Amino acid sequence: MTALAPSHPATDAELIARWQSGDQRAAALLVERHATPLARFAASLGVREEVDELVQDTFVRAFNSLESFRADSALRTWLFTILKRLLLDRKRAERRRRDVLEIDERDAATEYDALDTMVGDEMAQRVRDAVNRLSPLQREVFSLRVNEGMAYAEIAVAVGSTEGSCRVHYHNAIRLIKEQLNDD
Amino acid sequence: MTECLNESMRDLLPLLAHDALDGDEATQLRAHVASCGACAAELRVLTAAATLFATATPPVNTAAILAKLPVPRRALRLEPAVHPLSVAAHSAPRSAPRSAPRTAFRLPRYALAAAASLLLMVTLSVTVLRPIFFGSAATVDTASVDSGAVDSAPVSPTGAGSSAASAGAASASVARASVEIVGGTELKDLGVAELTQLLNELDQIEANVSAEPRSLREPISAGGEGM
Repeated sequence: MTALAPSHPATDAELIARWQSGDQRAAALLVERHATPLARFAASLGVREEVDELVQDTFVRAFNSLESFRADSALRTWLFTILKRLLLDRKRAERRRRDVLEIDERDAATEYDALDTMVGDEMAQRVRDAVNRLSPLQREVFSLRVNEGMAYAEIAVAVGSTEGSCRVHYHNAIRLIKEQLNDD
Repeated sequence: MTECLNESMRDLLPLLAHDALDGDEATQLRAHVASCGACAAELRVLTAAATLFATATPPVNTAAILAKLPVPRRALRLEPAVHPLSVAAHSAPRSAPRSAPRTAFRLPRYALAAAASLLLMVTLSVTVLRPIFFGSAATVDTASVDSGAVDSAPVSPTGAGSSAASAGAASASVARASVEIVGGTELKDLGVAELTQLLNELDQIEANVSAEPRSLREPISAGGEGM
C-alpha cells in the first residue's frame, strides 16, 4: 500500500486549517517545520538553558491562541514574536530573582555566551566574539536575516520595529562584525 | 575595504548564505561575489555566522512539545482525542479531515439547568393555582356540610364518593378529599336513626346515579336538595 505523496508540502495556513478541523497530525507537521528555527533564534539571542522549554512554551501559547492568528504575517514570524515576548518575560523574572538573590557579576556578564560553548575554527570564534558584542536588537535582526533569510518587513514584525530600522540595524551589525574581525 | 554599492546584490547575500536562492539568482549572485571583494568578505562572515548559529542550536524534543499542545475544539467535539504523537506513529495518511459532520445534538449545561428550573416553576404554579381554579376538597366538603339537614359528617364521604364515582375522575378526586376531611368519624359511631338516614340518602343517590352534579363545588347539595 503506497500513499500518494502530495505534489507540494502543505502551507502553514493549510495546516492550521486542518488542525482547527480536528486533524492533529497537522500540529505535528507545524512543530517539525518551525521548532528548529525557533530554537536557533533562541540560541542566537543568548539563551543558554532550557531552549527546549522556551520553544515548547512558544508553541503552546501559539496553539492556544491560533484562532486569533489572522495571518497578516507568516506563522514563523508570529512564532518568533511570541518567543521573543516569552524570552523578555523570562529575563525580567530572572532579573527580579537576581536582584533578590544578589548573584555575583560573573553570572550576569555571561548572559550572551550561548555561542561560547562552540569550538569551531578561528573564523567561527572571531565571528562569535563579534556577534556577542552586538546590541540585543542588532543581534536579533542579524540572526533572523542570516539564519532564516527573512525579509526586513518580516523581521520588523518579529522584533517589533520598523522595516527601515531593521535594515539599518542589520547593516550596522555587519559593519561592527567586520570591524571586529579586522581589529583582531 | 569599501562597501559594495550594489544594494540589491548585497541584500541577497544572507539568502545565499542561508542557501535560500533559486538557481538563476544564486548563479548571478555568485558571479557578482567573485568580482566584488566587499561582498565576498561579507559572505564569508555571513556563512560563518550561519554555521555558528546552526551548530549552537540545541536539539528540540518535538514529541515533548506535541504532548503539551492543546486539542483542537472540533476534535474534542467530534471524536475521542487522537494525540499527534499516536498519529505520528502511523505512516499511512488518513483521509481528508471531515468537514463538519455533526454528532448527536447536545444541550449545554446551562440550557439543561434552565429547562429544569422552568419545569419546577410550572409544577409549583399548577400546585398552587389548581385549588383556586378547580376548588379545594375543603370547600366541597364544607358545602356539603352546610347543605345537609342531618348530621352531614358521616353522609359526606359516602354521598360524595358515590357521586364522584358516577361523575368521573374530577368528582372522584373531590370524594377522596372529603374522606380525608371527615376521616375522624366512622360508621360505628353513628346511631340507628343516623344510619337509617344515611341509607335513605344512598338510595336516592343511586337512583340518580347518572345525574351529573351541577358543579364540582356542590356534588352533594344537589342530592340533598332533592331529598
